[in-house]
Order: sequence, then structure tokens, then C-alpha cells
Amino acid sequence: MGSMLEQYGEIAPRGTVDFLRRLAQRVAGKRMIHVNSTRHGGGVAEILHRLLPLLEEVGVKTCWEVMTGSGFFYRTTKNFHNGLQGSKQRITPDMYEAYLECNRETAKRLLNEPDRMAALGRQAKEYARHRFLITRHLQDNLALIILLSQGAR
Amino acid sequence: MLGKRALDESRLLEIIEEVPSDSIYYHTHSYYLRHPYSQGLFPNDFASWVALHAQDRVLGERLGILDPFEFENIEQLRDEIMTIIADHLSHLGTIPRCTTGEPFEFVRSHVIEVDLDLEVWRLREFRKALARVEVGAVYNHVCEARLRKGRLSDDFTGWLSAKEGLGLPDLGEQVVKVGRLGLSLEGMRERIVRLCDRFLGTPGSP
Repeated sequence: MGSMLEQYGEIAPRGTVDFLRRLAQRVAGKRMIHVNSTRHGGGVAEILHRLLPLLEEVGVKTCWEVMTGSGFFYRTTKNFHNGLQGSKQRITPDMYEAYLECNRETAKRLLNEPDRMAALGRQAKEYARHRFLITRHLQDNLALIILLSQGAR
Repeated sequence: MLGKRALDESRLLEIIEEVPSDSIYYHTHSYYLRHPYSQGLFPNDFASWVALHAQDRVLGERLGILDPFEFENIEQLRDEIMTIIADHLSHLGTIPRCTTGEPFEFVRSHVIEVDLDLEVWRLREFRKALARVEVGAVYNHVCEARLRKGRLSDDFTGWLSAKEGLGLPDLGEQVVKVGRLGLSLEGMRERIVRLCDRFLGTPGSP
């Protein structure tokens, strides 16, 4: 039996697997962290169970972390989701703060070295930038970096 | 998704006027890329929606005959679409609207070109590569190229015909017509491959 990607070659449209391998050459060796809220159930978990081995196969180093949050956090992210799909949503400052707080806690856990962050002082900003993979929450991550570096002074 | 949706043709016209050009592109040019095997009733999203969801087949037919690649730029296409819709609505007493179907959701997209590192020097190599390549390459070199290079040529025709290419103007003349036959991308691929096979069967072909 060939690799997982090669198996898709038997049913995928012509040239698709070759195209994916060529695209992958541009990101080979990169590291990617996926963060979602559960390893089981839900569309994202279902996708990641298949997607991550495929990414590994094309040379992207992956890891999968799970973040846990309050019910308020999940209601907030649901509103983000619906808003991104084109529906008008109201995000209150409390909701935004709950979202940021959960991201801060998760980032600290992922970085795994909160004491070192404090000890790094002004270098904390650069350290976080190198260690924390920025996904679509760019603005939130920058706020997080600023907050962490403020705490480190 | 832009978060803009139309439930009737008047609102459709308003939003078409204001959306970014890559939204117009998505709903017209890249329809071919999104439907590589066969096209629906009409080859663009606007025509399909007015016909199927607003139940306005007349406007669907008028919008459906537009070839987006015949326009020099997207703004010209946008103007033409708006002119057709505005003219159509000016003759109606009531505005057709979507009552049981789905609203028209405006989307924008970005086209990213990727170098496939595939070079060919002879007609046989070209034919072989074309038969296997991912169909987006057909879109880029046949359809998209007409936007980049004007209505008269696509990348394949230019290379096949040029003295610096294969110097086969007869083949190039036949290939350039393929892009205008209203075929799907896979249909274009098959047609061009067959044209190459015919030439390869000719003694002395490069």
C-alpha cells in the first residue's frame, strides 16, 4: 500500500497529488501547530485526524494542542464563527476579554516556560514571537505578546 | 465571504456596483476553475442565481452569454453586468426576488500562481505534460492568460505559434479556438491533447 497521499491519487483529479507535492516543497521543514477545543467530535477534530498525517507526509512538522475554555468563551467563539460567515454579531467587551484570557492561558501553557518569559524581560516579546505560531488571531496574539512582556518587566 | 447578500435583483445590482473587483472575478472568471468538469446552466454565478433563485430566466439568459475573458479588465465586465441588469429592471413592474431559494452571497478570492517546475521543449512533451497536469494549469494558461495578454492569445497558442516556440502557427490557430468553445476546463484539455495527437501523427512534427 502506498503512502496516504498516493492512495488519494487513485481517485483525486488528474495532477492533484503532484500539485500538492510541489506546493509542499515551499513549506517543507516548517512547523505548524493546530489549536482547537477538542480531539474528538466536531468537524475540526475530524479534519485534523486526517489532515495532520498528510501534512507530515509532505514534510510539514505538525503538532496538535487542545485549548479548554469556559462556556462563555465557547459562546464568544461561536459568535466569531457566525460573524465570519456573514451574519451580524454583537461582541461585547466582556466576551472579547473572555476570549483573550483563554488565549493567554493557553499560550502560557503552550510556551511552557512562563517563568522564563518573566526572566527574559524585554526579550519576552521576541521570544513569544518565535515560539507562538500566529494563526488567524493575529491581533489577539499581538495583544498577548504585549501583555506578557508587560508582565515580564 | 463579504457578508453581503442579495435577495432580489435590485439589491444584487447595488452590491455588484460596490464590491471589490476580485469578487466580480470570483463570480465570473473563476466559475470555470470551480467547475472544471462541466458547467451548470450558465457559466457564471450571477446568471445562475437570477435564473434559478429569482426565477428570472430572461435575465439569466442575458447574463449567461457573457464571456468574462472577452473584456479587457474586470471593471469593464462589471459595467456590462450592471448595464444589463439595470436595463432589464427598467422594463419590469416588480423586482424579481428570491422567495424559496437561497440569497446570493458575495465572495471574494485571491488567485495565487504556483510555478510547477514543468518545462517542455517539444510537442510530444507538451502533450504528455498537458494530459497529466492539474487542471488549474489549463485555466491559468488558456483562460487567465487572455486577461493578462489580451483577447487574442493564450499562453499555449503563443508558444506553439511563435518562431521562438514550436513554430506551428496552424496548430496554434486551432488551439486558440478551443478557449472560445464554451467548454469546461477538462473539455479544453481533452480537445487540445487531441489536436496535438493529430499533429504528432504528421511526419516531421517537432
